[in-house]
Amino acid sequence: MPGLNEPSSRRVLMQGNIAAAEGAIRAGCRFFAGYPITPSSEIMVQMAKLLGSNDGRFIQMEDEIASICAVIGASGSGVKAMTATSGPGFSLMQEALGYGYFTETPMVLVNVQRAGPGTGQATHVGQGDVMQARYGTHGDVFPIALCPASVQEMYDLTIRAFNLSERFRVPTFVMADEAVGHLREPCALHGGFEIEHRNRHGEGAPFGSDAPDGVPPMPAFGDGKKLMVTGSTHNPEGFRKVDDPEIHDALVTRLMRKTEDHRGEIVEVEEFFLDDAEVAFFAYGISARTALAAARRLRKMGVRAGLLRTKTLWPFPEEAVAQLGRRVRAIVVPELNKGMFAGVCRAHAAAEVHSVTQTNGKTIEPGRLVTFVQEVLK
Amino acid sequence: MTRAMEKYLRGGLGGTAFCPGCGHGILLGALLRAVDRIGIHQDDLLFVSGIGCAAWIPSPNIGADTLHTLHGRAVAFATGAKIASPKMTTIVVSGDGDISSIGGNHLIHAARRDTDLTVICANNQIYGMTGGQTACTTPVGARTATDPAGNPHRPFDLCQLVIGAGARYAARYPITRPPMLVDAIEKAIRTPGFTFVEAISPCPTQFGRRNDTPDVGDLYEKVEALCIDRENAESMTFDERLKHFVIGEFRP
Amino acid sequence: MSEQMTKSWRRQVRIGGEAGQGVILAGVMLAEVAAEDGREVAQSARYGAAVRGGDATADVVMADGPIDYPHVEEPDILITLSQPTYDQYAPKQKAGTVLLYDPFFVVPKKCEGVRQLAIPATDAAIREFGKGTGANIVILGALAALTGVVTTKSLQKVIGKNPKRRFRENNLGAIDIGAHLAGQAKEATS
Repeated sequence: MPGLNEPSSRRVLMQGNIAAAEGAIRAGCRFFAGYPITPSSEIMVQMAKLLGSNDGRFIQMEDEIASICAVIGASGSGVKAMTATSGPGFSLMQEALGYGYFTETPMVLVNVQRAGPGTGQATHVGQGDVMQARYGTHGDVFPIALCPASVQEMYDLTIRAFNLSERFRVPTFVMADEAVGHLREPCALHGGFEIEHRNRHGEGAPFGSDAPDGVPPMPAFGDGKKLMVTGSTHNPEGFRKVDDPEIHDALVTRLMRKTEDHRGEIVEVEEFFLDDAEVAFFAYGISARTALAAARRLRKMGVRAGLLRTKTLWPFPEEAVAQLGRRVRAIVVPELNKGMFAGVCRAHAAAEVHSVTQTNGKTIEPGRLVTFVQEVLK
Repeated sequence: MTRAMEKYLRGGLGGTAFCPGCGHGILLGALLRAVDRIGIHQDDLLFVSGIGCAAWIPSPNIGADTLHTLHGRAVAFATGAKIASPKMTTIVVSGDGDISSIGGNHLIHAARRDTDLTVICANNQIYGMTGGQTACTTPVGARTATDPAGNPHRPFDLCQLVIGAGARYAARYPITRPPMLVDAIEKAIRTPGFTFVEAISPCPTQFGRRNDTPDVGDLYEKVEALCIDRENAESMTFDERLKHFVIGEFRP
Repeated sequence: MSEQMTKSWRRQVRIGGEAGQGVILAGVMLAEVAAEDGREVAQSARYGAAVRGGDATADVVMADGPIDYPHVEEPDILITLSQPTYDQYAPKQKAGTVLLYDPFFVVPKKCEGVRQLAIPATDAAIREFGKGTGANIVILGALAALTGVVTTKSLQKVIGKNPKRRFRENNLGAIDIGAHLAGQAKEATS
């Protein structure tokens, strides 16, 4: 694998959506199915180009439902597969995302969030799908969702999403937003990653494992295993067991444990100026950059402000937030929705949690957070 | 089913879940005979199905890779699987409501794209598993759980639909004529590109009981009586044709 | 994102116009030029759902070090190629900033403390190329010559990387025209 010093690790100015496509190819993605939707379409267009020159397969499907189904079908064939979409398309895909979760199909979905609900504002930024990533499909699901804050992270976290998805056989979302997706910044298309591959030829049943948090091997179609894949409740071999209470409970529980018991491996947070902070931002995505700028300005003004930035939305960084709640007097959560993560934050932090929301299709400016914190500390 | 086809069945199964008199078992037999004639190795076969009684024809019965998917989406899953792994002979088997109502858009787009798939639709003219509701293939006037006074709407002519959308080959035969079904399925699988076989597979439990044919034998005879060769149907009006099963092969 | 607390040189440039005028392209190009100059850079755009028509705004933030918040808060330099974007942004310009406008499209108003310069880029582009489509590059040439926020050398280098010969020739010419217009504008206001 090429290292960090290869020529491609040179930083070049690039749009976030393009960097996500480049990351997918670097991670080994060789299948993309999608349907055009603003503000994510550049990913699809770039994948059409890159897969053409990397012996991959690209198909434009008739809608988002077909796209995600084709992705699951391709992944079952042993090929790393992805799609990209935005709010309305993400909604259409929810049934199949639950299917992908229940059949333990590795796949990556990049959601370049726009201002919803409804068709909302197609070309403007929002962060209103963060709960949908967790609870959008029916039933108990525990997917993985990452959240990039820069063009470089569109590349890095798309690779990481593939790695986590392959490692745990869990659909993994890159919850980007229009601001990061359309931002142009210098980005290094480096190769400083180990690339994970699913356990295709391992011993054991394809839908069960002795370990309660175990990830079973995943043979592909054509491997001669006479696979039975079904979105209905199934036993470790794949036989439908739609009336067996114990099998259903054991399956739902094992799937939960795959992500919940591996939080340490999945969750990534970043801390800024927290050592002596009395007030801290908790933020994700583009709003974390607002928060970082605000924290620096507050520091210059003599206010001990810090930032806990999460790169992982789900599983939620419970431990880090709980710890933050013990360290600071107040937590301020800026986000481009009506306070979705502030609510989650409150459930885990002992400190007072303040929500700063903005739903006008624009990013929050740092000045607003500076003023807000000054008011909080009064 | 004869013992000769047992090699294609998955071991450890007690039998199918189909109702007595259901045509789906006959269709399963016809499908396996066609596969056997072509001589495709089981490891090179992928069967994709949606949700409903007919989706259980391949899953779990056939001893090959089976992908039992979501209601209506089998063709979309199959498209992804086939494109990612072209070596696999990929066959979709599902019911009429699944393939052509909730999944109708995927069906016509797969035909348009000419993806190398064979889609076999077991048409029982009703929603069987959910309790006998009207389908987009229910004949005008037929009584269903949701149209107790008779269905007021016209059914799809599925073969014409897929041919219009670009299918390379389509055929319609009832399960009362298994040899013709075997031939049609064999031709469909052998024909490159998108192909379609509609098997008229009557449902005694949900359709027959509501429409004066509770006896399986009577129901099968009624199906036979409504079959008309496509050449003989040419002189019929459109509405007349919709009252019959126009059987035969259709090409663009 | 990095933990460095120092923040020295930082400039925010906003270009406003009507979608289809090459506003976004000018923003992307300006960002490339700033990167060529060795700056950290973040470029973003704001536009509506229509592919042609409607307001379009391209923002470029350039700095010596990492850029936390990547969007423009208060432009140090505002360029407007349309009256609606002029009317929207010009009144908010703070004192001491620079405003370049194209008099073909914009009738300026009084902005206290803002240094306003008319750059007749569209007129020049029509005269030189027979149509107004090169105006966005003309105005970048003027921007480089007037403000030094990016270097003319890097601007030429970025244009020179384009594989299309006609594009290179026309736009290298456009940079020179922009520099010339900048000189005239300077004289007119001094």
